[in-house]
Amino acid sequence: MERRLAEFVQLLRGARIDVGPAQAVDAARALTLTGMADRERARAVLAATLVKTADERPAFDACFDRFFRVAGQVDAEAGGTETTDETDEPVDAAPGAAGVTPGSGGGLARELETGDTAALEARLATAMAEARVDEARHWTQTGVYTQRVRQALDLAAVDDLIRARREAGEPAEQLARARAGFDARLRERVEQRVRMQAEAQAWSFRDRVLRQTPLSALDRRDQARMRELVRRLARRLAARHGRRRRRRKRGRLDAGATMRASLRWGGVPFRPVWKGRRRDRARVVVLCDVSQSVRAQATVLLPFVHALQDVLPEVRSFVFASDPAEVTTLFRHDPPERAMAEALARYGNGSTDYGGTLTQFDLLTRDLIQRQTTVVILGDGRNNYGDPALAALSRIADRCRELIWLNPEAEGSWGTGDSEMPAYARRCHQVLRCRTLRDLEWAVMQLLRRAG
Amino acid sequence: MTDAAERIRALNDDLAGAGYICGEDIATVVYLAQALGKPVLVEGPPGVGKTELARAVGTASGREAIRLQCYEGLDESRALYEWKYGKQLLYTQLLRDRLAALLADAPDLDAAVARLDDLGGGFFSEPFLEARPLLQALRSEQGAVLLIDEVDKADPEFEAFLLEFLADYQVTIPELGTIPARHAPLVFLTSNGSRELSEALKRRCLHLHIPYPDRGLEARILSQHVPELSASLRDEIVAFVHGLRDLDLRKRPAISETLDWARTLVLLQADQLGPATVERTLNVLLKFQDDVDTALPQIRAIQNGRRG
Repeated sequence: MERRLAEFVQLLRGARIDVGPAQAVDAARALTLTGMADRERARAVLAATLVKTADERPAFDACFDRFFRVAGQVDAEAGGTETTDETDEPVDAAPGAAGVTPGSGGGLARELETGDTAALEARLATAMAEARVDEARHWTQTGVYTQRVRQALDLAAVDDLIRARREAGEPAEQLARARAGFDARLRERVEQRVRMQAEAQAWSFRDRVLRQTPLSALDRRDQARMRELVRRLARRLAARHGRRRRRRKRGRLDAGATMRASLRWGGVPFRPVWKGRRRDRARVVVLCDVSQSVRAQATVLLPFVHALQDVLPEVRSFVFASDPAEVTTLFRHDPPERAMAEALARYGNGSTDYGGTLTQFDLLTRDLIQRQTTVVILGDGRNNYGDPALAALSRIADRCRELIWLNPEAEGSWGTGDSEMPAYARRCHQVLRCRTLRDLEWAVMQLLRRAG
Repeated sequence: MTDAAERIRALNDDLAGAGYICGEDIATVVYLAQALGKPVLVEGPPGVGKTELARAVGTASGREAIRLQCYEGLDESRALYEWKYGKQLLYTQLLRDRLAALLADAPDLDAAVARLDDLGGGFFSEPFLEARPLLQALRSEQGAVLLIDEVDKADPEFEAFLLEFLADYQVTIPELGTIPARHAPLVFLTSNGSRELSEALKRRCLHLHIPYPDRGLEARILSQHVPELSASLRDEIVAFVHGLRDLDLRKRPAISETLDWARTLVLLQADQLGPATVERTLNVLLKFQDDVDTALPQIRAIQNGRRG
């Protein structure tokens, strides 16, 4: 049981559920208490000990179903008999010894003939552990591992026995059939396990790659995964920066007030008074290009910024293709996917007009953008050779605390063709590239440092 | 093994006896918490009975239930213990003469200090100690059920302090020394997920997520808490609330809202759910005007969906 548990934990880790050794030990202790006979109870027990957040639960359930479908029933029987003595030593010892002693073919053959499924299943599990099937990383390794498991089981000995009986004219057909059946199950089991591991592996690998893939190159399937990543990222950043902000809350010693308060105690400064931190009316205003060329990045950035609302005191967002339009309420009330789709449908058409947009945006946000405001503009700065309205951008930059421009294009192509990026960049406080999720993470971190 | 299964079932019955009806999975986790001596972190949407669970476990096991409500800025003096400053001050004033008399014949300062020390803890002793929930739980005679409510509202510093407390079940008071638990308390922490809790804390706890109940369970809860309700109305209520939960709402109605609604309907002596009745009482179920506006046009659809 413990070994199977270890394998299960391994699978969970592959599926990006982080399980610590202490938790695994807890799970083992809990299982010895309750046993494995009741599948749903085992699920509840494992979930309670191994899962840490509700987010992880679906992934856990998927793993549980896959892992315990394979050998659920049989394993349950094994688990049931084990609870009296807490380890599965006896099960372990028999086939372990069988693997090396020449007489082992006899043991296996006997079980095959009598159809002792539980013993066979235990033997198979041990053999799979011995062959280190849990180290397989790719489905092409299935053949190799199947062969190794056969060797660990010493199936050859059974074959020898069958051949010997045939030569001696004894009945061997039943054994041969049982052996074939067992071998089929063995193949199926190894294949299933290898595939399972390969998938888990691929999963975490995909995440790593996703963070470095240009956002515009994501296909639809990846986008769902990406949203999940963004949500995680946002929560992590939110937790970290929320913490920092709170720590500073106490502020500095207010000497005057402390003196006044101490009069009550005859001048002894019994209770120090702290100066509260001045409440910043920090704000973030995002202006996002949603025309065709930047759409992919906008789809990631806007939900990201809104997911951070716990940390950022106030976020206002605008989108534009040809004219700026505010979408703050849209994002506040609807789930991000729907809000984004809505914003794109409503405002995403029309050709890009940076000049017109900036001029209008300047007028629109005369009161909104003040000394404490951080302005973020996401766009490629491709203005279709129109008037870039540099003066408007300068006015915005002068009015706000910080103007950050995020550009999804590589630096090399800024200024080529109709890109006004170099001119815009000179008027911004900071220009960052945001091609991949990692760039974006970095950019948002900068943003938090200033606005938080 | 069957032993454990039986105990879990018994625990489930006890909880039901204490007015808390739940599925086997919740009882399993509570059983594990008792058997392994680990705290339980309870998560779930507001109003599904996270706090109620701890109370019910207290009632069912005949243990004292102690609650610590967390909030931003909660510190050790609120959670653990505090000296009764007022009493200390008052007593020093009242006993000034006695102290003066006691120290009058001391030959020098050192002797006076030594004499004061001989008094024993003096003003820093048991009678001047104000025990807050955590200390109360440790000192409880038969072991307490400690509910640390909405731990996500507390500061990370407090969370770190909790880690220490949950690891050893003991606290150190500088003036008195270390106070170990008489019996390890059964600890429930609840979280609404307003902040991500630290990994360390999550790892130390058993995790229990209480979702919205399924229909059967909700009907059982309703009949337990609002016995005046007729069976047909109860089923109508449950079906309607489940229909509501499928809508896209800011705050979906939880069990507590369902119970309030059922009580309201009993008060209004409604015997069936007509659209007019629903319309009039919808604000009991939904706490945001936005949600009421979303739901109003859907009432008929939800009810028809139920029939069809």
